[in-house]
Formats: sequence, C-alpha cells, structure tokens
Amino acid sequence: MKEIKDCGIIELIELIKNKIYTSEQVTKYFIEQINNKKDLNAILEVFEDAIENAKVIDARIANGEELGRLAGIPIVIKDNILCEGKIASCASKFLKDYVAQYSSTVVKKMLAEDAVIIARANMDEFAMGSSTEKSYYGPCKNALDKTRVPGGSSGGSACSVAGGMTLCALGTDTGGSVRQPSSYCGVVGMKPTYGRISRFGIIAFASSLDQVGPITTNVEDNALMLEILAGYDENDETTLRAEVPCYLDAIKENIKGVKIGVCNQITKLLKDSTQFVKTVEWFRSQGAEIVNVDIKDIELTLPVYYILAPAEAASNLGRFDGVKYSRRSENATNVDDIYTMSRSEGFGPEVQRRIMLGNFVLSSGYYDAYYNKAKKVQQLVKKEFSEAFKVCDVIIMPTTFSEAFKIGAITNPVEMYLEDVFTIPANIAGVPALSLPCGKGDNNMPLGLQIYADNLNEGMIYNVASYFEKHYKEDK
Amino acid sequence: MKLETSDIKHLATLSALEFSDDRIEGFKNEFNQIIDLVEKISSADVANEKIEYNPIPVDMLREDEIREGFSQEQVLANAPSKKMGSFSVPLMME
Repeated sequence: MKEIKDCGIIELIELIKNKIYTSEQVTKYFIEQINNKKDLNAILEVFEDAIENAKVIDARIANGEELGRLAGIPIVIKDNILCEGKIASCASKFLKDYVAQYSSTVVKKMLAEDAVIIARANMDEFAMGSSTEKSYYGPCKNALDKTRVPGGSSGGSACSVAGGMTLCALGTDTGGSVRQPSSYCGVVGMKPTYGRISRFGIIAFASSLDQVGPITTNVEDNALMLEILAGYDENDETTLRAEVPCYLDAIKENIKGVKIGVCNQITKLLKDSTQFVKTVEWFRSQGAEIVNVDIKDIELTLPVYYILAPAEAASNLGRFDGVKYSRRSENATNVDDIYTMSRSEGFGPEVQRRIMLGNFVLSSGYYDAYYNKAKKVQQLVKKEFSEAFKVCDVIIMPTTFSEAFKIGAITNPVEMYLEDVFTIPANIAGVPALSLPCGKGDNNMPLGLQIYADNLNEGMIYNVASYFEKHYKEDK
Repeated sequence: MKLETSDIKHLATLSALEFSDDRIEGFKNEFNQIIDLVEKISSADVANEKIEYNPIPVDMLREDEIREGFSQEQVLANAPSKKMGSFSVPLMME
C-alpha cells in the first residue's frame, strides 16, 4: 500500500475513494506533520474543525454518495484568503483578530469539491515581500534548509508543500509571490492569466495584478487544482468569461514541434547562464523548436511594478483606519489619532514604505511622470509579449537568479525588489507563468524554471512542464 | 529627483502615518534609492500608447439587481468599537 507521504493529490483521491485511506486518516497525518514542523513557522493556525470536516466526508463516502473532485483532500490557504468564521490576518498585527464573515470564491470552489481546508499559512505582511521574513508572526524558514528563506510572499504556502504538511497550498501572486517561493522550495507554483481565478474574498494588495495560484508537489496536481479554481465569478467582474478547459487533457506527453521562446533580453541579465543554456539545449534535444524572441522593454516591468503595485496598495490599504477592521490604537483619543496611530502601530515597516511610495507616485505633480507613464509602459510590454507569442508557444526563463538566500541576508529594500525581475513581467503583462523545479544550485538548494505562455494558454504550460518534470532528470 | 525630509513628512501625513525623526531620515535614503529604480521608465518611448486602467477590457457587466447583502451584525463583527448598530468613534464636535 502506497504511503500517504508518497502520494500526489490525484493518487490520494483514488485511495480515499476506494476506502484504502479515510479522509480523517489523511487529515490527521498532515496535521501531525504540521505539528512536527512547527519550528519552520510555515503554518499560523490549524483549523480546529478540520478533522470533523474530514469525518463528514468519510461518512458520505461510506454512504455511497457521489463526491467532488477533491473528496477528502486537505488543503492549506495563505493567510490573506477568506474562509468564513476563520481568522485571516494577512500576517499583520493590524488584522490579527480579523474574522472572515464570508468565504472567498476559491475556498467555496474547493469546498464544493469536498476538499478539507486544514490550516492558514504564514506570509509577508499584506503579501509585500520576497522572503516571508516580514510577517508579524516572525519569519518562515525553508523546509530544505532552516537557515534559508522559503521565498515570498507565499512562503508559508510553498514551505508547507515542500515540508510534506499538505499536498496543495494556495498562494497569491502579485509580482511573483507564488512562483519565487515555489522555486526556492522545490515545488510547482502557477500564476494563471489575470482574471482566470476569482479574487473575491482575497484581501487586496494590488488589484490589477493580484492572482491566486495553486502550489503543489507535481505538475498534474497543479493542473487539476487550476481547473477547479478557475472560472468566471459574478462577484469579481475582472474574471474572464472564457470556458475552463480540462488542463489534464492538455498534457500530451510530447513536445515535438513545440516552439519554445528564449527572450534575448532575459538571457543578457543572467549572471551565470550555464544551467539555463543546458535546459534550453535539452528541450532542443527532445524535438522542441527553440526560437529567440525580443521583449525589448521587459526589464522596465520591474520599475513599472514598483509604481503600480504601491499605488494600488496605498488605495487598497486606506480601508484600514482603526474604525472598521479589527484593530484600533489604545492611545487614540480623537478621530485623527484613530487613523494615524492605528495605522502607525498596526502596519509593519515594509507595508508603511509601500503605502508612502504609492502616495508619492499618485500625488499631484508626480502622477503623470510616474503612474500614468507606468501604465503606458505596461501597454507597451503587453504588446511586446503578444508579438512574441505569435512566433512561439511558450517562453522559458529562470524563476530567480539563484537559490534561496540566507535569512537576514538581504536588508536593503531595493536589493530585495530586484529579486523579482524574472517573475514580475507575467503580472505586468497579465500572462500566465509557472515555476517548477529544475536542478540544484551550488548550495544544493532547488532552482526553478519558469514557463510563460500567452493569455489563457495555461494548457500549453502544463504540457511542457509535465514533459520536463517527467523526463529531464533521467536525461541529465 | 531627490526627496527631502519635508517631502517625506508630507507623504507621511498623506498616508495617515507618523514616524520618529530617525525613521523619516531612514525613509528618505530608501526612497531616493527606490526613485532611482523607478525613474528608469522615463527613457521608454510611449508616445503611441494609450492608458488602459482596466487590466481586462470590461465590456459586459452583470445585471444590476437587488440582492441580499451582509447583515448589520456581519458588517460590524470586526469593528473595534460599536454602539447601537453603528461604528463608534470618539466625539468629533463639542
């Protein structure tokens, strides 16, 4: 009998359905793993009703009921995703007691498929960061090396998957926050097309860039999860009305003739391109056609991001005023003090920095030079991506420059921002991109390969990713 | 461009945040580095680009119909202070 720890989601669903394991056994197993790995600080809370909910699923299976596509599977959610009756704190002191009054669409979709939501995961406060060191609850550690960061901002989510505490965790990705931690932790993370997954019930950071994404141990599980999470939602008018395909069917076990783009401007940025060149050549050897493409202004997406994301964050976080949500300064005696003192005491330094930056780029006198110009550069880059995808099916590039860095190693904000140079283009252009493990670096920590595709072409990403996952290691 | 201490203090006021003088100086240095980073976009030629504020062109909206909203209890559930079904704040006028 295959042990739970060796299963993926798709296998485990079958084992639960065939009564080899009960959902209760599986849920207890993962909660035990979470409790054994508390030192990683990946999980902020195990939901106390998880085992009860698993028992309900088991009773329904015993009754012979037809269950959903995630029957009995435990799932972890990032701490900015609302689940009714549960705390969603965004890893912020400001929202540490905030209890969700409704469930996000993604949570509802998973529950409708009979998943069991077991825990909420650590993150950078309000999803602002690339290392999960900026959490009110303290830094999360990398499951593969406790002296290193798991990446961020969905570091707790990626760490929980890498550390065997769940088979799937949801993250959110505004500038790489699903893909970069997936790369650092050696797991698979997808940022779908903007609008593919509903943002209803996700605590907003930068609404025009935020997307929810699944983090899993393998590509097929990820494809299944996206299929379940994706789709139009009348509660989020930025969701796309496009039909959701069966992403598992898109996995063809063959990449002959697939046109794989390599972006000239990205190649130039690589400090050490040995590993990447090897990967490109491997794809060529497997029958893929390698195409060099230009995305002339791709490097500008980083400055564009650090204008647009703070601008939207400054607006979105205006609602945290000490009146409506959760926390009010105990020292405030008048209304102005309530606003200023609650925000000054409740937000951490990185969140405050981005609110200030956002208000700077939006302030009169600077609005045109920064915000409006950035919006125009965004259009330029979108067109360049669109042109590139006329001559290739996917574009590949590394997820990060190198392996996970040591906790505390990067203290300068700009240096930290530069970590996101390969992931941000997908958010600015709105296109989907996935990160999956691609060998190890000098310190024996995982490296990630990123696969970009045109809008709504996630199926092609999964096809290429799955082929790579199954065959690359053997051929190395 | 370079931001001065007075600019940072103004931004703090706009942001409803307050800082010690040390933090203001710290912010000034960090901000000037960040501005150097974001000013790279000034070189881009965007003469032919139009601004799209919506990330996805919205050409269809659902019908504007009356539906059940959140209850008063739900809306107030997370309020740090509430009275008689309302958010409560200290007296604003004498």
